[in-house]
Amino acid sequence: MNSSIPLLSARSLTKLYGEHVGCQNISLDLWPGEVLGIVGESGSGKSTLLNMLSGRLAPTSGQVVYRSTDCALSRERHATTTQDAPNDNTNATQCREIDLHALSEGERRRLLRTELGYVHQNPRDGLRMRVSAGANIGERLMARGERHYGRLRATALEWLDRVELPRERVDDAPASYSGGMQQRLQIARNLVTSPRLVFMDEPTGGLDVSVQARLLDLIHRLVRDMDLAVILVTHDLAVARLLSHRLMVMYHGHVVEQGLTDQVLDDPHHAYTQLLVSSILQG
Amino acid sequence: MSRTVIEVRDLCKHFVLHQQGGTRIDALDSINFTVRAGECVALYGPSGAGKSTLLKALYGNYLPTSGKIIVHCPQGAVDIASADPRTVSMLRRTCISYVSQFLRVIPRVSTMDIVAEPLLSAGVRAKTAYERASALLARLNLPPRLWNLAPATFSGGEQQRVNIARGFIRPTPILLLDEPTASLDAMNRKVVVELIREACANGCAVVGIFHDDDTREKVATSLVHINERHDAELKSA
Repeated sequence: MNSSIPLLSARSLTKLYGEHVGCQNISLDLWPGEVLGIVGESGSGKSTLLNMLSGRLAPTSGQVVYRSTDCALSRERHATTTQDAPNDNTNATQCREIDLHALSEGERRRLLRTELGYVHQNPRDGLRMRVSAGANIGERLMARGERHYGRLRATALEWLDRVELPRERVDDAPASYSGGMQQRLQIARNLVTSPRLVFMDEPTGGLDVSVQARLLDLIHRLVRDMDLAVILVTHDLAVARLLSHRLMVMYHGHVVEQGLTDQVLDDPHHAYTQLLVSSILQG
Repeated sequence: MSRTVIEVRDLCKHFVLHQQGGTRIDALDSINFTVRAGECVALYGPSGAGKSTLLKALYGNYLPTSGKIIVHCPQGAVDIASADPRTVSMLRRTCISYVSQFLRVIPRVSTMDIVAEPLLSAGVRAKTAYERASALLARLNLPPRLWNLAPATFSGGEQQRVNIARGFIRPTPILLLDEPTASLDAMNRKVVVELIREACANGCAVVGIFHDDDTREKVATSLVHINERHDAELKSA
């Protein structure tokens, strides 16, 4: 059972900043449709890890392999060709292995616009603040070659609905949106091309509790309905519990514990995880 | 004799509390029992004996220190105690259901969506999922005016019924119940007893903790005694 091939595999990822260890020797596999949470305190290396996994930051050593369905992209960079198990109907196409850190900048950008997504903690880092919401949503589609204005607009309106933003705000620039609305727009902008894997860095950080709850519900539903794989970095264990299937706990650049989310949080073994879990305020 | 669905072999569970001077708690010591299809096994013993710990280990929520928990699912036999997280996840989606004592859900999500979720995750069509959810909520006497509300403001008994509906909506070969009737009135306890008996009649293997003697006597086909010495013996109910 579970014979399908991972979507993303990292092997022995290490990032050193001079003497300082950002991340040390981290390996992981992520399968289609799976949400992996990475938790730990500030400075534990979780953002460094996310940036290496998404190809944005070059590791000191180690490798990140993404299995793409985009053959044009991978033809030049293929490592080995693999065939999915025939009974795996979620991903029946042939996929090729891409070493994310061996891609040129242009190839990496192309991948980030199509099969991958990246949701920043601060929506200002992920949106074009001065162009309309509709143009923000349409950008990835246009990058993929869609030029028909009517279809772009229709898709933008459909996505505003999906992320519960009012249609009449389609022509407004996100600078005029509230923080929660900006974050929902950033999610729409990323998901419009139906990516297979989305990286999320504290997607609900810095939002009011009520806005956060609504956003969690939205992310949860979209992930399920679109069968997205997600790597989610958060320092909030409640967010990790609600969204992620599996959890990795980071401490001083190392993964100290990992497993099924509820198992790690309800039966933590490592001293640091026990400290983390016992420090949650009871609401 | 029906087929064996769950085999617990020499199961031990120790907790080491690193934040409290490395205190070691021996929660379970050499637990052995089997559950066959159609049986309802009640875990029986004093408070603090480790009944909930055992049930949580069966669900893969607690990681055993040693021993085996073999579950015979349609996909084959798997040892939950040593299975990788993805396998445990897959078994939870397809083979093992669990009704916890407390409802833990995303704030603001409606009762209907919470109850239908296990079916939706298993790929059942939305219309079918919501119809089954409605039928189950009605059977558990939860007023329809509550169905589209989030359960955060519900009473304990109402929340428990949402939890039960969520646990029973998708029939699985294994059903784990942690005090499902704790805060229910007599009428709703009766519904839960019927639901458990129906599950057994359909070949489900049930393991439960029932504090209420009346419910336990009505549903349990055998008892696993977990006493203060933390060893278990199987007796006929």
